[in-house]
Amino acid sequence: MRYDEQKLNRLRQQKEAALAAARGLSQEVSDTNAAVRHAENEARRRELSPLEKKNLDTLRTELELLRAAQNEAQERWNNLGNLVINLEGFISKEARP
Amino acid sequence: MTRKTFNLADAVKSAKAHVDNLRIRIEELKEKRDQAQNAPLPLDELAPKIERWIEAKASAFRTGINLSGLLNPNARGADLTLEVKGEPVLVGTSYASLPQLDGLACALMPEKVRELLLSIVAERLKDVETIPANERRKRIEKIEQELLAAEIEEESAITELEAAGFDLSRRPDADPRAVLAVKD
Repeated sequence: MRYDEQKLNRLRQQKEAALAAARGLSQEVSDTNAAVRHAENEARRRELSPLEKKNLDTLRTELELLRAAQNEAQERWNNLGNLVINLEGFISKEARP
Repeated sequence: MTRKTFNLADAVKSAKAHVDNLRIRIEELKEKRDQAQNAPLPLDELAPKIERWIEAKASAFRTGINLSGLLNPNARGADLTLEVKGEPVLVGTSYASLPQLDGLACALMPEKVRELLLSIVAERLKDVETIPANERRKRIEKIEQELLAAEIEEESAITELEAAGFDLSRRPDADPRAVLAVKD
């Protein structure tokens, strides 16, 4: 039986892309989290204007969405990573004389 | 135009549902394979195993029993003591030590042990699926063929979705033969 090693390469690339996406989202989560913390500290020091309050709410919502997206990207990377390990193990066994 | 988009969405939904159903089928087949691998042998095939177990236990008992205290001419009383330079020295606490009691039972009354074990096994096998040794391999092979076919169908559905621009994650434990096989 012949096996499609190009497909394995495509899956490797997808894994790398998923890792890059997870890292990018992680950075965004970190930045947004810092912005939320900053706005919350500001709110403890003084009364925020209605626009600032609205912005803080928006930031909090954005942070939640980003965290969900980050978890999803992380899961996708884990799944692809395990799949690639599984396929590479099989190919190396098949290639053994 | 709107109609066409709607149909595409339906087609994708239906393809994803198909993959979900295949995944349920794959899990069921894996469970069925585990059951076939672990199902006990029928009673008539277990009886000779029980017989061999009884013989082995009885034999181990006979060879394992420690009679050194009993055989030693210097042993006295319930405790084993030896005279050393005219003084009694305690070197053991009994004439003989008995190894496992199951071995004793098998050596003394193998028929009763056999009868007891067979009745216990028969009771435990009631309502349990048993598989004769010569059938097990064939049954597992048949399930594995069905499993591979289901995984190939799953991969084919995922590949079609990918070609249409929709991404559906593969299972990390997917069968590599299904994921990487090249259709001739």
